[in-house]
Amino acid sequence: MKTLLETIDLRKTYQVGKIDVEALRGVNLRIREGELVAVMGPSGCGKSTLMHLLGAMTKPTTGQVLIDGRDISTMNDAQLTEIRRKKIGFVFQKFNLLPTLTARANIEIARHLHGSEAKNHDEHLAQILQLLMIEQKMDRKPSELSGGEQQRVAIARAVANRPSIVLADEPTGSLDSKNSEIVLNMFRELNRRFNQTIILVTHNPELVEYTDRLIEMRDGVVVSDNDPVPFARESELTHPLI
Amino acid sequence: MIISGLAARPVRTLVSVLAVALEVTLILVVVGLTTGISSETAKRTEGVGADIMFQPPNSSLFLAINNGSMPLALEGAIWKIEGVTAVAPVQTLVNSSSGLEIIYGIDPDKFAAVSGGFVWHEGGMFSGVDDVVVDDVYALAKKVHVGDSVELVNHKFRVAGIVEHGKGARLFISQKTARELTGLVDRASVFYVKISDPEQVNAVIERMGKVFPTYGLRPLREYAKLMMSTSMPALDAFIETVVFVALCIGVLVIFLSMYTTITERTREIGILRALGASKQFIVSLIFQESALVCFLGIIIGLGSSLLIGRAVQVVFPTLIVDISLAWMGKAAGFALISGIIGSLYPSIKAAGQDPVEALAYE
Repeated sequence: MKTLLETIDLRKTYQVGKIDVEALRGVNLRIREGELVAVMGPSGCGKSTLMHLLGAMTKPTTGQVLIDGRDISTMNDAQLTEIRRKKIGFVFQKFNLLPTLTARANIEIARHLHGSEAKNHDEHLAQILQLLMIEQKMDRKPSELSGGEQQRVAIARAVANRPSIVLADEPTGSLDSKNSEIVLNMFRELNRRFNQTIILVTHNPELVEYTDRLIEMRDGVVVSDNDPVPFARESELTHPLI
Repeated sequence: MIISGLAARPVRTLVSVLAVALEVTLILVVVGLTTGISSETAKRTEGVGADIMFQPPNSSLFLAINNGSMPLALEGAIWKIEGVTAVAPVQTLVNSSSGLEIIYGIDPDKFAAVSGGFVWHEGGMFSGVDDVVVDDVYALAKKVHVGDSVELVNHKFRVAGIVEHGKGARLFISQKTARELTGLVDRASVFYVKISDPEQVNAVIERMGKVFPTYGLRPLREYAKLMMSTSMPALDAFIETVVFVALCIGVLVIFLSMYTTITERTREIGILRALGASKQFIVSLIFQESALVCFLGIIIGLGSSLLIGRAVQVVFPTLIVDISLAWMGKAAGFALISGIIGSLYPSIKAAGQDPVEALAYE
């Protein structure tokens, strides 16, 4: 399987007042096309920072993030924006729909930003809306939708442009258990049906059962990764003579 | 997105639109009144029908602010200039008890020789010292008819006649009455001069200049042009000040509106940045909102200016509000400039926001 995302000795340090806070302390990961991965860990372990880096929202202090083989650590703001627009779909805990727009307009704005290619995705979008069961809710504003419906609109917006990777930060954090189950099943369905690569960032252990792979983090480092093709093994397969 | 963004904050949008409308209205009404009054005065002065205006040394184009006066005896000397066919001495008085009105103290026959005479609507020429002739615009504004009393320069007058407007002043009294009211005997504020061949006006002025080198000699047909703001530095400065103040109002309101908008919408900007919106997209979004506010403000401002101009003319018929297409365009341009300046910093600030921090904004 093609590697979509790779981090090499990824470090991120924030300055809080005069103190340097190391949010990530050398993270090495490899995410392949079509994977449904959970990144789990307690609050403050660096998983949200990791998500921001994987989503080209910010640049690492040191190390590399390779998205489709391109290192974002050397990119300028315009190039990072381009990566987010073309390669990444975000789903947030608080849905983050634009409150003044209808569900349809929220999806359209993402398609508009994506550019002309989006015109070819109408059939794909129709399938997505059907899968997410929000076809009848498209003319409603976020305030007229339930939490579960808002999150499904947010998922539709994230996948409307067929991004390489969907990054979901605590996607069930604001939902009740019934809606959480619906949303997680939809993530799995998107992964199965459209081979969509999805990374779920969470502290909720129940979410793990919906994913293929679990990466656990603590204190800014990866402490476990049940990668079915471990880093070393893959390296051997790719470079058998080394 | 732009319309829904503005519609989501109706009160602020309305206030911003009205502020831009105020900016446009302020410019148009003040400029309209200034140019309207000066051009209308110029037209009336031109309407006297003379070819040359003969004024005292260092006199102003505004007859109302001329303090100096000339001996009436100059009339004979003017007559001696080759080409002169009629001379009408006029003594000007200013009535400021109800607005600013110029009164002409005239010799009816001499004034008629230059102007071709009045067109009468009612009554006839003054016969006594307490008589006044008014023009139709003044009569309409003050709702007076022949026989009614009017109070001018602390003196009670009887309206003897009403004439068609456009002959220099709106109020005419006899020279004798003007003499009594000013205390100036045998003096004139201006001589209107008619010549045999209007094409020779410059040649006649040149001949006059040799005899009266220090006096103000102006061809009447250039009077309107000279009265325009571009020829009058003080008026120009006044208009520039009004435009500057109006522009400042527009800039401050748009700035405040857009600045509070982007602060409130920090999270939305973060969402857009996460979706892949470029900095230019954010800047353009803020500018488009600002432009829409300005556009609505301009439409309302133009409409209200025209309405105010009409209302002023209905309530005060002697006041002219001249709202020209050129100034409508300029006022719209100034409103757009204020929109651009006002939204410049907020848009740059919005575009420069860190997407991660913007998304975390509560």
